[in-house]
Formats: sequence, C-alpha cells, structure tokens
Amino acid sequence: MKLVREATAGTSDAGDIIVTVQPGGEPGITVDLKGKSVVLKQFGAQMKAVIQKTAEDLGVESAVIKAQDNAALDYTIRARTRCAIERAI
Amino acid sequence: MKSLMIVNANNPKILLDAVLYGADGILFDLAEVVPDTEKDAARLLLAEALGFLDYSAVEVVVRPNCPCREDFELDILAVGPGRPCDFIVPMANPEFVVKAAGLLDKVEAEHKLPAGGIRLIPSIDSAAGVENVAAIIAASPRVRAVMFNAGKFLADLGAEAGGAEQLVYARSKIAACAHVAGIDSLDTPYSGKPDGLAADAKTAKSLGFTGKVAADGKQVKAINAAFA
Repeated sequence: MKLVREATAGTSDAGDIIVTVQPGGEPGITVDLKGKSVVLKQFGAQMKAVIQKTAEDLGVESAVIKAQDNAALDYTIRARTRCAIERAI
Repeated sequence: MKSLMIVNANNPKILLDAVLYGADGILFDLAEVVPDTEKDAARLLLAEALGFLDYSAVEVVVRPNCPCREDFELDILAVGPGRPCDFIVPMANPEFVVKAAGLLDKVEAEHKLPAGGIRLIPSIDSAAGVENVAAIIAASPRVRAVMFNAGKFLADLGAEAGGAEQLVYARSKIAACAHVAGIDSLDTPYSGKPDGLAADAKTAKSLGFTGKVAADGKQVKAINAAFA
C-alpha cells in the first residue's frame, strides 16, 4: 500500500490521539510519538509498537508517522492510525 | 430494555465511560452527532472499541447513517463483525429494513456468525413511518424493537414542536403496533427542561412504550425509575 499524501486522524480530546502520516522517502516506517513524559516512559514503546504493527498489517511499506498522545488506549491508537493511513492513500 | 442511552461513537473517553451510567442499552451513534468529515474515523473507532472494551453488561446498539447514504453500508460492514446486539434503521421504511437485513446476512456469512443473530431496531422518523409501522416491523424477523424520533417526525410534518399532546397519536400507534408484534418500543429522547423528564417518561409508559431513549447519561436514572 502506497501513501500518496499527508493525512491526519484523531482529536486533542482526553483519551484520544492525533496521528499524522506522510509518505516516507525511504523504505521502512518511522514513528515519532509525543505525549506526557510519565506516560511515554511507561507505555511509549508499546504504543509505538501498536502504531507500527497497524501500519504493517495494512501493507504500508514506507511512511513517516507522527503521533500526539492524549492518553489513548490501544484500540484508539489502532483506529486513528488506520484512519490516517486510509485517508493518505 | 427500559433505557437506551445515546453516545458519540467517535469519542474514546465516552466509549470507555458509557457503561457506568446504568443504562440497559447503549446507542453508539455514527449518524447524527458525527460530522460528515469524521464518518470514516467514527466507524473505525467503534469497530475497534467493540473488540477491545467490555460491553457484556449492556445491549450494544449501533445507529448507522441513513440507508439513503453510502455511509450506511460502510457502517454496517465495518461495525457488524464486532457483533453488536442491534443496528438502528434510520428513516425506517420496509425497504430500508430489508436492505439492512440483507447486509447483515452478508456480514454473518462472511464472518461465520450465527445467522440472524444481529437484530434491527427501526427508527420511526417520519409521518410515513408512523402510518406504516406495522409493515416496517413485519419486514424482517430481525426486528426486535422500534424507536420513535419525535423531532424528525414533527419536522417531516412541518409542525412546530409544542408539547406532548401533538405526539399522542404517533406514540400510541407505535406502542400499540410493537405490542401486537410482541417487541419492545422505545420512546423519543427527551429534550425539554430536566425537571420535565420524569413526567414525559411516565406519559410514554402510560401509552404503552416499554422504554425510552436517553439523550445523555443524566437522563438514565429517571427513565429506569419510570419504567421499573
């Protein structure tokens, strides 16, 4: 699956996450996650893994993904990542 | 089902908290509260939520967009595999009920779910809906209840909203037809001043409704009390 434009999904509401995807210049998926440091310290690696796996499962081979977390649970991270990717193809 | 509480299906915090209000059913709304630009996001979020959060204590009801829109099919195909208990059929007529049932046949076959397990709740949103309510109920064995939307009914008639009297005929007809068919009937959500809710729910019960739609969590307690 090839991304052709930048696209965003999600809101700044509590419990949500804003995910922005861009076509990547090189093969591979990079994830840049921002949020409360106390949350990222404990859950950051897991959250990035959820974003990465969601993109891979959709067949994305090259992307730059930026995410701004507002205390989202896994299901929200998956839904917003998928939505941003579907909007970018 | 005494109370059916409406929640915005595109709000993660509300999806998490929805079970805390004591409603018998939760109506996850993909239609009226979700703007056109967020329809895709809402159905993806709800589909994920149904597989992740524990809604086993409540009846899970999904309101897709109108069957007159392309979003209707996308909503049912995206959220149906998450096995909600029921889908609302907005702007119900017999044809739309048959269309919804056909999409559910497809979802259940593709995902190996029990045939006929997901039920339908037609929403009576127009004068034609009121006049044809018996035919709407009879259009599919999946129909497990009907609900009434007074705001849309009055808008269709071109009548200004002005009190319970103008709804007596529509409410009575819907409750009576549901009773004859042996299914639940859910009265319209209440939109007046908070202190009028208990009386409005009592009126609905006196006309034969078995429950009422709650516009938000604050209405649930009074509705449960009225239909207890």
